[in-house]
Amino acid sequence: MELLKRLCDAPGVSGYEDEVREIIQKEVGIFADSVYVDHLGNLFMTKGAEKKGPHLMFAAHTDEVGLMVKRVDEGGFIRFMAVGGIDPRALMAKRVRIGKDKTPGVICAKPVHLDKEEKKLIPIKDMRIDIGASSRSQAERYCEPGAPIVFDTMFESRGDILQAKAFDDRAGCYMMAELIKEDFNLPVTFVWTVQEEVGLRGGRLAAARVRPDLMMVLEGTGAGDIPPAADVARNPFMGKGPVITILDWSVSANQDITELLTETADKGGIPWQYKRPLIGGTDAGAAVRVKALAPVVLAVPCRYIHSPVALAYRKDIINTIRLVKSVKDQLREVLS
Amino acid sequence: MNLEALKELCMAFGPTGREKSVAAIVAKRAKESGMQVEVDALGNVIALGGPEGPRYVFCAHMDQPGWMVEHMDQKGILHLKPLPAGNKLGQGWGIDENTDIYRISSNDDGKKQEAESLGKGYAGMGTYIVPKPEFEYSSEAVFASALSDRLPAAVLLEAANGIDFSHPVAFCFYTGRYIKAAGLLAALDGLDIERCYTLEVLKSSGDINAGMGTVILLRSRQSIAPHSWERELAGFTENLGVKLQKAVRPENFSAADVLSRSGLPSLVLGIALDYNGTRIEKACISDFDDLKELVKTLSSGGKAG
Repeated sequence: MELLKRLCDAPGVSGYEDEVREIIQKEVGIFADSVYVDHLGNLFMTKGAEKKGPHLMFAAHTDEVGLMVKRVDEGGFIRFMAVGGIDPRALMAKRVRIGKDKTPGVICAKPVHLDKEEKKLIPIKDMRIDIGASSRSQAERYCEPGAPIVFDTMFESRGDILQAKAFDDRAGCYMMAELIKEDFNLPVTFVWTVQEEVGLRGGRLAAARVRPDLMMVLEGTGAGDIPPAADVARNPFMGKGPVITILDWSVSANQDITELLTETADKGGIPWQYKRPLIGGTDAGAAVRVKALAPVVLAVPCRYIHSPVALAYRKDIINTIRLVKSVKDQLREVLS
Repeated sequence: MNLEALKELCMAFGPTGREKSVAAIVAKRAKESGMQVEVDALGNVIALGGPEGPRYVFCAHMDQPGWMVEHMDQKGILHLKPLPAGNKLGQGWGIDENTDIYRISSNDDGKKQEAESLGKGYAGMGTYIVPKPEFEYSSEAVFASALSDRLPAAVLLEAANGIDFSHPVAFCFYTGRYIKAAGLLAALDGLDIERCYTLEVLKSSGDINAGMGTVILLRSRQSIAPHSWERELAGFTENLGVKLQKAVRPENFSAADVLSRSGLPSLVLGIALDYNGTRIEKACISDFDDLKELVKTLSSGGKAG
């Protein structure tokens, strides 16, 4: 999981995914027949283009939710905006890194004994980041408007438990990096997309370029097994295997491939679970608006996605890769 | 109006993502009308008629609202997630793909819905349920479930019987209307399009009424009807003896929103429905026939004025 650690630790707020892309390209480019990066930053790797049969496209997005500098105020505090969906409750007093130089900062939080309105939720537009500067001019030496801001969270593992930022979707990026080492009986394009968190932008362009017949999105998705107790019965659960989407707000997964996944998992003793319907959307939703294709979304359940730190189980990642490997040679038959 | 054909569509099981049964009926009937039919990877049915060239495209959706089972509690009660537009369906009987029956219960705002299986149990999480289909009619009106979802397709299929196909035409029956018309753009992919009409139903509410003729939707959430088409159509319907009524619904989503954002100008032609969005909706047969005549004439390359 060394590669997963490097991917999670790399900064990659939407629009600034270069570092993540470079790691992937360097790590697994040698397994591809061809490698291409488009103008937006999507990374394409193809295998077996000469093979007959439906064209399979894997997709995982390289970007993560984060923040962006809007401006610096008179006192040297940094005003910022969210990039992607972030709950402001998850931000107070968190450590961040700003811009290319990864300047450390902390999102301001008044100590409890000074905050008479402690229970009031502060909207992101009213929050500031403190980098310890005492004036605007001093702060501006370290950041400028538009600079991306990532959560300052480093990957940690304890046995099966993994803790990091950006499992959504570095988990998918990692799984694709493992899968590209495999042989396939049909033409395959692996696309590490950009700007998924801000409107599925890269996925749409990628689908228009590749025009696949089948698209398999690999994701890190929100686990629902979180207290309070009323929610504990809600799936997906961490540790219960790959999460298979039936229907989300952007797409209905292909029924035949979904059944192939569940039947193959059952036969192979791979745990699996369905995603709760109508939650979120993925690049598959953008792709089906470009071309008629069979979409499938497979994900690793992670607690606390879209926040500074998330948890995942190693075994869920391994089982998701196992499941894809188990079905890959049957896809051609199901689609024909 | 062919009531048996409409009934077959209204009785078919087809929640968003499970439109196969509806698509099979649509594809069969379009083929019987002499159209060249293709079903794509998303389950959209694309029926082509006439010579090659820029086509008049008519779109209608196939999916219907319903519920999906999220989980079963220890008492065996199924907790349901309403599919989009499904929270207005209220209490009553439901049915799944295997025709197992469920009793659906709902709290007042429709956000929390539960089901109890009366039959062999249920297939598990992810099981789709729709309201148990019902279909009745009088000499003037049809009362049915899923009418708002199957009436536009029924109009197109019945119109297809009377078109001479001298002009290039495409009928697109698309999937995923309730997830932002997910299948619509893919259904149009690769078509040489001259203009697009989308057929939809709208709720009767003062400005438009069931039994008062074809509706033109001038404004929906993200689209504005092309004024020249609207004027053209007004003159045209006068010649046909078809009544027209106009609706402005900036609060409503329509397929035209998706098309106009993709640079495809389109006009929504509709039918006003009573009890729209509830379990039993009502449509007037005269409105169906009016819209059918309009589609037939437009499909034949007729232009207004």
